[in-house]
Amino acid sequence: MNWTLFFIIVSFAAYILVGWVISKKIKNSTQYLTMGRNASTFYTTGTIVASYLASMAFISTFSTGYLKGMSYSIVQYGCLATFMVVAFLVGPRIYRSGTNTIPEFFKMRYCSERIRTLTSILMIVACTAFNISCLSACGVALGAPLGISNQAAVIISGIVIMIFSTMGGMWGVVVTDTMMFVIFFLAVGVGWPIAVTHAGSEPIASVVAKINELLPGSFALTGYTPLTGSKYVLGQDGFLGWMLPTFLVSASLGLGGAQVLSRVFIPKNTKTVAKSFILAQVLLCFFLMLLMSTAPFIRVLAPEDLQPTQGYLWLIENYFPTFLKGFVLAGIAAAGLSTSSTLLQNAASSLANDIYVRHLMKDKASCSDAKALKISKIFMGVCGLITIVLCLYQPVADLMIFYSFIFAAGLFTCWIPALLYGTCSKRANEKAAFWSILVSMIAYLVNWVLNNFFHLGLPHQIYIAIILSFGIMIVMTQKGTPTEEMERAFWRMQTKSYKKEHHYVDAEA
Amino acid sequence: MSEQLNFILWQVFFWSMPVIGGILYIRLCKKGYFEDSEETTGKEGATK
Repeated sequence: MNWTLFFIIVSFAAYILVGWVISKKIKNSTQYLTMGRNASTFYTTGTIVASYLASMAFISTFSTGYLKGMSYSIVQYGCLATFMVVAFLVGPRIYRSGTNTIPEFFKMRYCSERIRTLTSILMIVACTAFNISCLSACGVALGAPLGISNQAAVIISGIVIMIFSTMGGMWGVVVTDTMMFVIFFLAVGVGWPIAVTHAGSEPIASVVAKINELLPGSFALTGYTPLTGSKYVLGQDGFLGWMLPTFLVSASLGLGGAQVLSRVFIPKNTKTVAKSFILAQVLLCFFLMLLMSTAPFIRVLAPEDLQPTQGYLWLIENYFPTFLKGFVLAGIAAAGLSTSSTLLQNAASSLANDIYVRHLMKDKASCSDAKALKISKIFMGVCGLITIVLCLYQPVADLMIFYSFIFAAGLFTCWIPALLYGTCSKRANEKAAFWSILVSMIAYLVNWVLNNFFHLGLPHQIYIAIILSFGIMIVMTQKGTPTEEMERAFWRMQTKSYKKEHHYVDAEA
Repeated sequence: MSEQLNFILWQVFFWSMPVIGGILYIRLCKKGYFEDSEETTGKEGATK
């Protein structure tokens, strides 16, 4: 029996079944978009972790551990640090704002329709680019083991995601994300003992010594990282060119990534928001340590000419018991599917509610909730199809595969200052937020194009985006004044005790 | 520095972030930072 095929079919069927069951329970667009604001800590944590980690974790993140040792997981520290900011500062405040999507939050906070449109465009571009990368990674993970082309694997994965995301909306995505999170955690848990026990027949200390001979400092903080290691490199191939930008991308994803940030809208209360992000930190540490410490053991086992990105898949193919192969591959695919479904949900809900209904729909005043729900579903299908077609179009796939998530994740940096100032400072004003996002977004895209198509060797685009977005926000906030409506929006996000402390009397109360 | 000590320090550093997060969460709960949680629980359909 082909266990690989069996497990993958069973898991895919389970996701579709969940989407179908949930679709029967959805009664309004709020349930479709934010799960009715009733998610428990378990579901919220599961979906945060599953949305942050993708198949790339088993492919590109793994390859850095394979080449440079487990200390390279330090670049993921950006996300762990920014989760703290989301848990205690940004998350609870956004939750109290009572909005349903990120563009809607910006609209509420800055009382402006143009900022809603701008953040919607940013979200659609970044989520779609990220999604192409996720789906392409699913194609790589599933194509060879199933004996089908990568394109066919992309089509199958894309259709499955489209079906359960369209039927179940955010609710379907959250429940399937949590199922996938359990599967790929089990997958990485199974991989570690298999790699360690097969790396050599000697005691583990001897195996570690052998690894250290091959890859010095594999298990040490002062290993191969350009920051602290013996091979310290500051320039383009080292700390400034690779390590710091990757760290900043991880931080940008943790604080501003739509797939992570959209999770603050779904829990039961602010306490659940904070608890879920802290638990997600613990689980991410656990996952990264397991995955990155498995990599050097596989390096000892694998042939010298093996592509680093194929390391984990090679271990599965050669050392896993037959029935476990399918289970673990389903787990790797699940990591990609969960992120992909979330990105699709984000892009589609923004396109439907923030662009189509606001700007293109003729009779928007008479748009009933049932009609809004139907529009959301149609756009989910349309966005899914566009993403699949883009993945199959070779020039786009070549451009986006594997590392486009760095491009997309970095793009979220552009709205971080507006988000931070918006939640934490009552002085933040619409002009500062709008120009900070717009200018940094254009500069980010131009810099990326110049570096990738004209090879100008400019600094990484994330540096430009950070300097411009924070610079403009800080200067214009100092110079501008918020309207009364904007100040009211700020107070709406604060706790009762904070309002009392600052002698604010709520006019709405 | 020995390889073992280096590894232990690395792990302490890596796990410190969720530990700090956990401690902060407990302290903030005690201080009533999430005071509005009970009121907002289960509220559906926020403003649009």
